[in-house]
Amino acid sequence: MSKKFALRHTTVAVASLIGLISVATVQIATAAEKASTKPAGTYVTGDFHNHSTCSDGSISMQKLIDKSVKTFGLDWFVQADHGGSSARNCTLREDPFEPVAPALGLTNSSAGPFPPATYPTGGQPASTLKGPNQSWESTLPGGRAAIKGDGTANPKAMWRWQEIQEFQYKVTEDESRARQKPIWIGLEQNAPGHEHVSMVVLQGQRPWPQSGVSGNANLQAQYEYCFDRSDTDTSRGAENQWDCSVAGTTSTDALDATARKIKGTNASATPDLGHRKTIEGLKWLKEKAPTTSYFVPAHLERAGVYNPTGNRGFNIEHLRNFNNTAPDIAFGFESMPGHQAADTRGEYAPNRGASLANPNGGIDSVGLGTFGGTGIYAAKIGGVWDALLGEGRKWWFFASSDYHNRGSFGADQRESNQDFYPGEYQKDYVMARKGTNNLSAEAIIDGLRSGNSFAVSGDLIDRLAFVACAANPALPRAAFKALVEKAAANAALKNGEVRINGCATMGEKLVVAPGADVVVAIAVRDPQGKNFSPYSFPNPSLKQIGITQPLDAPVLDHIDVIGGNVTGFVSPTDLAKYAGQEGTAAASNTSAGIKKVFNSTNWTATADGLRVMSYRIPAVKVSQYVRLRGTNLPASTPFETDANGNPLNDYDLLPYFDPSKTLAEQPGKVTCAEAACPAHMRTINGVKYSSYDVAAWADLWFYSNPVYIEVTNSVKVVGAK
Amino acid sequence: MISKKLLPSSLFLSTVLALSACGGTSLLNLEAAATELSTKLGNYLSELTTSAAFNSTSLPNLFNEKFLDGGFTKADIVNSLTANSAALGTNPDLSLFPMATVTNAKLSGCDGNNVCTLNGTLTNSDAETTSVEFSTKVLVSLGVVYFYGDQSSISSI
Repeated sequence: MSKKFALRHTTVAVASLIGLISVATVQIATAAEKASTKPAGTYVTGDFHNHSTCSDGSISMQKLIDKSVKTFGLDWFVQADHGGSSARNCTLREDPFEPVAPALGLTNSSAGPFPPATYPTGGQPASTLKGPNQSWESTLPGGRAAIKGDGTANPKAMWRWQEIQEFQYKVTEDESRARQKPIWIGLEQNAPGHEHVSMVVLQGQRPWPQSGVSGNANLQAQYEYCFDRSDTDTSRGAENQWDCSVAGTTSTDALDATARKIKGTNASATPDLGHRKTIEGLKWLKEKAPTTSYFVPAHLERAGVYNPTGNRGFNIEHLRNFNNTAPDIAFGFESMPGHQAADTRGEYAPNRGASLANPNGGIDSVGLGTFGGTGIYAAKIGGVWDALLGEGRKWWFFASSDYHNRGSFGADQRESNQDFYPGEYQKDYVMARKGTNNLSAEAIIDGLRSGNSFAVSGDLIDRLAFVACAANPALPRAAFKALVEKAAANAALKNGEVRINGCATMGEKLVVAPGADVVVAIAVRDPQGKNFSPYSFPNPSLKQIGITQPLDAPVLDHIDVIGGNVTGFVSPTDLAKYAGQEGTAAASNTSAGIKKVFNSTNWTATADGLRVMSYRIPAVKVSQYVRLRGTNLPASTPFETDANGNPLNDYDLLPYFDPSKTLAEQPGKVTCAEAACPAHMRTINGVKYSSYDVAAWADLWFYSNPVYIEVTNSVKVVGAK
Repeated sequence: MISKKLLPSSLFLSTVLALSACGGTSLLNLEAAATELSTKLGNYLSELTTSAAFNSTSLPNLFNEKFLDGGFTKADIVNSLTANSAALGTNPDLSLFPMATVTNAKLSGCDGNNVCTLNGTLTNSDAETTSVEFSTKVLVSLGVVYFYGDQSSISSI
C-alpha cells in the first residue's frame, strides 16, 4: 500500500515536472566560454592590394574605389600603391567616370542587367596626359616647387610619402565617408631584401564611420619613407623631419646620418641588410601601431627564392622571422596573388623576366607557376603553409587583386588579359565584429588578424561556416552531429559564425582532453546566379570531362578537409628545421594531408543553397589543425587537377618557355572551341586555347584558414587563442 | 523474481504503461520517465564544473551497460569524462564540449526487449538558439529508462 502510494506520488511529481519544466536544461559553466561571449559579427568582403596611377596602375583613385566598392560591391577597401615615387597625379579623376557605364549609354544599376552585357571596345578613356595620367608637376598649383624631397627627373616624381600624406589620404577619407564604407590607404611596400608586402598603418586615419574632424596618414607616410626599398629620398620627409630609429633596434649602426633611415638593402657588400631593414620596419610598426597595422607578404613566390645579395622572394625562415618579430602584425600571406588574368597566371613563371634579347636572364618563380591560381606555398599540401601551421603559428591565407590594368582592354571592358578589379574575381571574407555599430576599419583589421577569414575566387562560394567542436560524450552521436551541422547551417545563412561553447572556428583553437572526439562541421553556400565573368559559354576545362557548365555560373564540385599535426615552434637556432627553400624539411609538414573529401554524394544540399557536411575526428591524441579548400573542378580534370584533387601548375597550360617565341605564341593545352570563345585567347594554328581571363574563370578555388585543435597533454598551439 | 511486460502499443497513446515489479503492479508514466531521464542528463551535465563531478558515477549511470552508439560504449563515456576531469585540473583553457537542452522527450516504438525510441529536441542556446529533432534508443529496465544507443559498432559520421 505504501509502495503504491509512493509510486503514484512519483507519477504525479513527474507529471508536474512535465507541465512546469518540460525542458531538461543543460547549462555548464565551461572553463572556456569564449565562444558564446564573442560579439556577433559577419563576414565582410574586401581587397587590400591594388594600384592607381600614383604608382604603376592605370586609373584614378576615385575610379579604382568606385569599381571596387560599387561595381563589384566590396564592403571595405584598402588602396595600396607601391612605395617609391610617381610622377602621375592619381587624384585627378577620369572625365566622366561616375557613373561609368551610364555615361557610355549602358545600364549599370540594380534595375538593369548587371553587370552590363558588353562595353564598347576601348572603354572609358584614361589616356596619356589626361585625367590621372597628368603629372603632379603640371597639375599642382605650386608646380614643381610643390613636390618635396630629393629628385631631378622631369617632370619631377613625387615621393609616395608625400602622395599619401598630402593628397591620397584625403581622397580615401572623402570617398569613405561619402560612400559610407571603410576605405583607407595602405602601401604595397617594396620590402628591402624581398619583393613586395601589403601593409597598413591605420593609426591616425579616420575613415567612415568616423566623421567630423579629418584624420591623417602621417604614420603610413612615415613608414613608407623609412622602410620602402624604392624610397631613396633623404629629406626626412621635408618639414616632417622623420627619424626612422626604432626602440630596441639592433641596426642603429646602419642608420644614415642624413636620411635617418637605413639606406641600403641586400647587396653583395651588404648581404641580408634589406631583410634586417624589413624586420626593423616590423619593430617600428609594433612600437607605433601595435593593433592597427598589418604586414602581409604579397605574391611571395613570384620573385623566386630569397637572395641575400638581391631583392627577391621569401623563404620560410623570413616568414618565421616576421611572425616572431611581430605576431600580431605579420600574421599571413597573399599566397593567392592578383594578376589572375595575366598570360602567365599571377605573373608566376619559370625564367620569369626572360626576353628574346636575354632568353636565360629570368628568375624562376618558386613552384614555376601558380596552382589553381594559388602559389605553391599554400597550394602544396604539406608545404610552406602547412609547415607554419604545423608550428601552431598565427599565419593566415589571403588573396588580392593586385589590380593595375586590364592588359590590352580598356578599364571598362569586361574582358581582361592582365588583372581583375578588386572584388571582380577574388574576395577576402573577413569576420568583422561590429555589434550594433557600423562596420569599421579597426574591426576589419582585427578580423584579418584573427584568422577568421577565407578567400574565394570567382564567387565559387559566398558563405562559409567552419567549426570544430569537442563531442559531448553524453549526447547521442547522431544528434550531436545534427546539432553542430545545424549550427553551421544557421551561421552560414546569417553570414556569421558558430558561437557555441566547446566549438572553435577559423583562427581559433579548440582545447580538448586527450582521446576526445572532435566533430568538424561545414556549411557553405554556392551562390545562385552568375558571377562577374562576362562569358556564359561552357567551361573549357570541364568540357574536357564531359561537363557542360557556363563559365559565369560555376558549381562547387568538392571540398577537401586538410589536416596536419602541430609540433610546436621551431627555434631560429635550429637552422635545419628553421630555414630552407620550398621542398626542404624546414618548409614541410609531412603529417599534412587530405583527411576527408566532401561532394554531392556525402553533403546535404538544402533548399536555401547550402551544402552542409560534417565528420568526426576520433580520439584525438595530438594537437593538430584542419583547414578547407574547395573548387569547381573534379579530381583528375586534365591539366587542372591531379587524381587527389590537387591543383596542377597553371603554367602547364603554357607548357614551356620557348625563348624564340613570344608568350602569345606559346601553345596551350585546353582548347577553347566554343564559338563564343573570345578573340584574345592564345591561338596557335587557328586553334584557340583557354588562357588569360577564360583560364582564370574556368579554375576556381576557395581556401579557409585553419581551426586548431590543441590536446591538453600535447603540444600547445601558441599562435591561436 | 522480477518480471516485466510491455502492454500493447495502443496503450502507449495514453502514455501509461503497466509494469509488474517485485510481485506487485505499479504504474509508470513513460513520458515522465523519458523526461526524467532527460532531466537527469541535464542536471548531471550541469554539475560538470569540477574535476570531482566528472568522476561521479551519476552521469554514466544513465547509460545501460550494453550502451553502444556508433561504436561508442559506456566505458568510452566514462573514459571521456575522466579525461576531461584530468584535463580540467591542469588546463583552465579546456574547451569542454557543447551543451544542450533536451525538450519534448517522448518514448515510442518499444519492442519485445523493452527497447524504445526516445524522440526529443536538442537545443543549444549559448549565443544563438540551435535546435534539432533527434531520436535515440533507450532501454526500459525495472521501471527505469536508460540510454541504450543505436547498438551499432560503426560510426555513421
